[in-house]
Amino acid sequence: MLPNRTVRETKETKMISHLNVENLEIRYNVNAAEPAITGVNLEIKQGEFVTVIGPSGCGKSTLLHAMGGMLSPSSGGIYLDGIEMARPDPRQAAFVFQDYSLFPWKKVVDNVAMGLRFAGEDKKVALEKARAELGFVGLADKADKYPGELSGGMQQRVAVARALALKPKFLLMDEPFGALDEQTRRSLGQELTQILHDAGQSVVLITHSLEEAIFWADRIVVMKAGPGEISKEIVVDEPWPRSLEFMTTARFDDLRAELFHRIQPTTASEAK
Amino acid sequence: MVKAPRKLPAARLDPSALARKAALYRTLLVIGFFVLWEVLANIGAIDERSASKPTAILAAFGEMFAGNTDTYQALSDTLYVLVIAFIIAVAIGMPLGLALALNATIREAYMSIVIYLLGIPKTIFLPLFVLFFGLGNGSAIAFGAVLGFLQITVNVVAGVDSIEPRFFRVASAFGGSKWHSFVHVILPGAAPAIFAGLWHGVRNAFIGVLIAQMFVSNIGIGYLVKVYTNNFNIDSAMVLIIISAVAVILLGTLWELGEARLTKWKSTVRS
Ligand SMILES: Nc1ncnc2c1ncn2[C@@H]1O[C@H](COP(=O)(O)OP(=O)(O)OP(=O)(O)O)[C@@H](O)[C@H]1O
Ligand SMILES: [Mg+2]
Repeated sequence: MLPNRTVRETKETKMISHLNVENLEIRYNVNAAEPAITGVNLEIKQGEFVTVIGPSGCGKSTLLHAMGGMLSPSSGGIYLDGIEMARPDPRQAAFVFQDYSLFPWKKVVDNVAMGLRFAGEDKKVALEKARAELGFVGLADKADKYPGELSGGMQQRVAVARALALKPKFLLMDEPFGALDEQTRRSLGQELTQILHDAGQSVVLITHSLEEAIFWADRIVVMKAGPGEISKEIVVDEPWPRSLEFMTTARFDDLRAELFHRIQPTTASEAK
Repeated sequence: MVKAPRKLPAARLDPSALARKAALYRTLLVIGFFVLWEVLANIGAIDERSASKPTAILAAFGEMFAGNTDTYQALSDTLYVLVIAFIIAVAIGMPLGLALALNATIREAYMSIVIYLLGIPKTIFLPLFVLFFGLGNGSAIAFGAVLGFLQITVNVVAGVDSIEPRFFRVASAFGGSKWHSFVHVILPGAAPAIFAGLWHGVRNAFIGVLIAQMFVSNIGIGYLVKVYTNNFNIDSAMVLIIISAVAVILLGTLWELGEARLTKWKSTVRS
């Protein structure tokens, strides 16, 4: 699989990276009455699998984009190992977006190699790495197709491969399976999250599935709307590897019930 | 990827059989047109002296290419003028289109002028071109270039506008610079529209060149058509008109093939 994921090396050298969100506020519009998110504090350690859940419009995507250096903070900041993330750096934090957002004019392998090429990697090396990464997500045979020739599920695998090709310290996934049909969503979500977990990849995953949010998380970040804030962080201390049995436990049910109540739009403003 | 069941009867034939049948129909129409023309001219329903007829045109065709160097001269003059006009049209139209598409101030300032120029009949400005560029090739080149570059410009703008913002977001998320965005998003994303623009550019440059040659120049196909028509040598004028039409149709077909090759991905995108 992935013998040399960064986290393995860094664990040995005791150099674990930290992604810190400090007192973050994002306003899309200076004149807006309310910021999209405000007062957000969050620390993610390399190797962690963190899920983010919250009602629609509460600022989940905003937070994730800011964490990847895509938005400039109105106040506060994002720091990776103490250094401010001023612009996107996919080797530190790479994105998988909700809409597949593969370039339809590039072949699959060129889409995956894109980030490496932008980083100045030699074309031949970049393409080799891209092919390896496509193999990792089970799409080695689709390398020379165009994205339009692939199903939605396959396209999202490619998007994951494109992010992983950069060996990012943090993988930022914004409802990566949200646009897929229920069946594909479940099986692909299961498979990919398992792969990422096995590889020790640090992940921040936005999801609107309560089960996903609980099952995969080392920690769940719950957000509320109006204005967008973190209302609670829940540590899921169930040991790894987790079996599907975990979903049948009382602990799981309690967590699900708690999340359910916290993300109801009506009660969101009271849940503090 | 299951294709939706085809319901329309027209689509039931397999594509190559359909294409063959369509080509046959088209050929029949063209042959029918020429036969009808010939018959109507022979029975006197249309005036042969002003409308000519296919067999007379065919005879004129042979004559014009056998002994008459004027024909070759006119064809090569026109081709030369068209190529120069098109090169100028591209050299102005592409950068201008990109500047209008990518810079809000430039767009705000100049786009309305481009749209206005595109909309008005430009032939009324032909006398101005003569004043500026004289009666020779200069006017034809300039007029062709103007008609061509306007088309190229608006198509480039439309092409860049049609690119979805998420693609720029992705390029930047993956560490792409502005230059990367230009090369990996803007150019390929706008390529289909740019191709269409170049095609409209050639076509319009050709129209411009012919009009200029016809009215204000003494060189080229346009000029010869005028001379032949004024001398009631309709057969020869028809030969040149048909050659021009066939040239445009052939070029259009080649263009489509080239475009299909270069923007192959386009056919994979489902709406
Ligand atoms: N580009 C933008 N410009 C202006 N306002 C924006 C922009 N993007 C998001 N917003 C606003 O910021 C708030 C948070 O949006 P965001 O997309 O982060 O929410 P979300 O939690 O990801 O929602 P969803 O679950 O529907 O994806 C919303 O009120 C939204 O309207
Ligand atoms: Mg969102």
